[in-house]
Amino acid sequence: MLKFIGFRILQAIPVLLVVIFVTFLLVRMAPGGPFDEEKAVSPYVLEKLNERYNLDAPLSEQFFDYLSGILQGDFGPSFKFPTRSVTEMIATGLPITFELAFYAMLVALFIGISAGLLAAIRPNTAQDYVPMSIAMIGICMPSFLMGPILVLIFGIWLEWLPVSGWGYSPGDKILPAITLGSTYAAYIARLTRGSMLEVLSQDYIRTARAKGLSTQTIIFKHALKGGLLPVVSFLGPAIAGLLSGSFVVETIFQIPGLGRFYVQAAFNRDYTMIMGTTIFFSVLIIFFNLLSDIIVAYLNPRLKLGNKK
Amino acid sequence: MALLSVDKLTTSFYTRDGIVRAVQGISFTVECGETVAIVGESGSGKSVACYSLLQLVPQPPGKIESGTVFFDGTDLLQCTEQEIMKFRGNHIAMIFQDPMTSLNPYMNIGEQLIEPLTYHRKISKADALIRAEAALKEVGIGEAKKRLKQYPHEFSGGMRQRVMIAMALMSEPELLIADEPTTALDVTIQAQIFELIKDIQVRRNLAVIFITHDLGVVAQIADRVLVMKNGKIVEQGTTRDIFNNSQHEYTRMLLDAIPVSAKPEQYRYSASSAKNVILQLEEVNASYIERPASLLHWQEERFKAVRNVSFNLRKGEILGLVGESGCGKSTLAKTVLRLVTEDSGRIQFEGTELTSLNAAEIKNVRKDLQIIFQDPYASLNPRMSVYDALLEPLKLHNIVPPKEYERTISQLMDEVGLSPRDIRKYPHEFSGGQRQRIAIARALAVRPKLIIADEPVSALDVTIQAQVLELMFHIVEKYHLSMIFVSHDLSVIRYVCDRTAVMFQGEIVEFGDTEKIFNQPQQEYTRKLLSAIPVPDPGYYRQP
Repeated sequence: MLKFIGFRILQAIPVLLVVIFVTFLLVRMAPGGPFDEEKAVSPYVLEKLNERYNLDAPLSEQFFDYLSGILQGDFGPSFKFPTRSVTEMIATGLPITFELAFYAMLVALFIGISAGLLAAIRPNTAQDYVPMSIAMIGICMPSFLMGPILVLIFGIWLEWLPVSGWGYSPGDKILPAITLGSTYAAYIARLTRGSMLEVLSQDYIRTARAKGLSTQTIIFKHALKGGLLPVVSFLGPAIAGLLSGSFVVETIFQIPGLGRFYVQAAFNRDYTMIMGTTIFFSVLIIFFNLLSDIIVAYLNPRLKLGNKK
Repeated sequence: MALLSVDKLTTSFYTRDGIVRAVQGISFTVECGETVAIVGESGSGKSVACYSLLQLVPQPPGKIESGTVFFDGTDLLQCTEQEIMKFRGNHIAMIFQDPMTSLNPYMNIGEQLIEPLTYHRKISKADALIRAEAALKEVGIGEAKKRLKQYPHEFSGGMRQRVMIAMALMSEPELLIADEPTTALDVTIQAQIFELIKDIQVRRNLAVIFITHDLGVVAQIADRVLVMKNGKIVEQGTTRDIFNNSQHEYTRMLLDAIPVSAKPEQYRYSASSAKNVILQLEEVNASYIERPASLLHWQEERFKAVRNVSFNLRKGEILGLVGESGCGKSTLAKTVLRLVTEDSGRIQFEGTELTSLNAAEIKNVRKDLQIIFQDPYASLNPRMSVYDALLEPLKLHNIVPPKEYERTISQLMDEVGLSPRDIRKYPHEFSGGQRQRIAIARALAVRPKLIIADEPVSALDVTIQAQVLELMFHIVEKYHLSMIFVSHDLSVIRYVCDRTAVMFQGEIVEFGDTEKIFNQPQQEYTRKLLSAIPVPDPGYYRQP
């Protein structure tokens, strides 16, 4: 197992290098630069700024400078907010984005798995059709539509929940979490239903029935472990998606998370900030994919990774 | 009073295509300590009948329409789900056909073994585990304590079926229902499992219902036999009566269809036919990749499936390749077909050295070498009609000009006993036997010289099997074909093959005239294999 983990971490290094290289090129190929303002900056100032941030050096030199900076844990200064470093800004935004993603994941897992189970227990009945239709709508509806609708219903008409902010008033975390988690809840519901249906048709479920076990025991003890494996494999990419996809929700609900910094950085051509957040998200995606693979291997006795039988 | 008495049991399935009356008013009884075999071909309703006893038929679409099933004074069909759960796995236990899929792969053996006890009895988990350990020992599994913590994939097929039996017996049931428990196993393992069931039955006075399609098995184990056809019991009686004095025409047809004899005289390879050798193998070794090379394991791991195999095949001869699963017979067949590349050795086909051919040359040779696979359900493309399936080889090898396609295909269908009117039909519209005929027609389409048949009748019912074998004799004779017939079924091999090669662990351990091998086996392994075949004659097993 340790060998497998070590191997996967080694595998991540070339992936990260490619990500860094491609982002570096793309960011610089995009029109405009970090110091373009509505009112043009004088050529002298621009020259001084470029010199200050080493932007006048050849691209290759810039790239290797940047790379060696990263290796020392330095993502450079933000071009837009010269007083703050990229590392610092990620550190402020990250806990908020993490918290949001965590709540959203809880929402997604709870709603998704229960809806999927309900549907799988009585397939092709109302108990199946209703949650699955809602799930279909959930998949189709983007969060920038879902968010405002929830705000309209629960914030403005019913006045049950606050419509923006993070941690200022009780309950202001509920709507963002639901908005972000709903799409994933829908995916998880469909995944759970499909794989539970498959597991429930297996011969070993018939064996369990022939042993005289109750439906409840069969579902929770015999079927759930196999049935949730696809969901667990999906969790890695899902968590990564939640983290990097949170910027829409953060923008709608005025949440000062990492996602908003990311979007702002892109608009501002804040080279170092874009690079820093991209690399950071890539690391997260790789990490969570690895984590879910490890959990799947742990749950499935047939996949004893790295061990010969 | 009988332990189990079934009266006018009727079960139907309500499908989109209409009502399927799977079981139609069957009645029978089972006494304590008795073994009753229910025998019939696929679709006869034998499994549905037994699943109905415990209300295990999926409902819907299934529905138990009427009848009574009295077990020890209780009508099981009147029980609610709550009530019948107390019988399942407790008083009536079941074992199923496929031990590979019937155990939960995500739970260790111990957890699964103790369930019947912990659910039906007041017993602590620790005590149940002690009982489970004893149960594993009883079915002949060593190191029981360690085995309890292992998962199903760490057991072989035969071992898993032992675990299933141990699990069924944990709660000391009065009745055991065994649904084709040995069909998926090799004959030597099958013989051990029968031995085991019989032994336990005598010790515990257990009643057994044994569902099977194999009359040889019936003769070996049953006291009484029920013969089912189309949901009805057409005949029932003691095993001796059924075999020696059967009243019903269908029973006699089943008995006649079993290949018990040697190869029919008129189909035997005669020395007068051209004596030249069509295929010659010398010292062939072949292996397959068990674990591919990766960054962590530089060296791929290969399994040596075929070791130093040499034999020859004469023109017009049917050569049997027999052995248990994993003995390398399929890998050997694939090596001849160039689907597996040999590690060393020489394969000569009509004087051409196959091992030195390049890809284009192999394509040419393939025209002469055809294969028929085991599973007629899986080996035909469901989206291609018979016409398309037969057209493909004709086109690929330019067998006939395009305007002849239709006529050639009709002829081929006629040849294999299919109606040319069905030319536009798709595989799912045919029965298993008919599909295997399509597969034979497809092999014949390119006018091959050698056909390799890989377990061609293993998936078929015995009456269908007899018809397909007849067809194979016919085509071999008519087209002067040579054939390698791969099978695990010794009776079929004896009935079909002129000469036989017995394979064990990748090697040919015995090779010679089929009758000689069956009458005077020279090797220990061959003798063991032969003695394990169930003989469809009850007298054979009842002699003192």
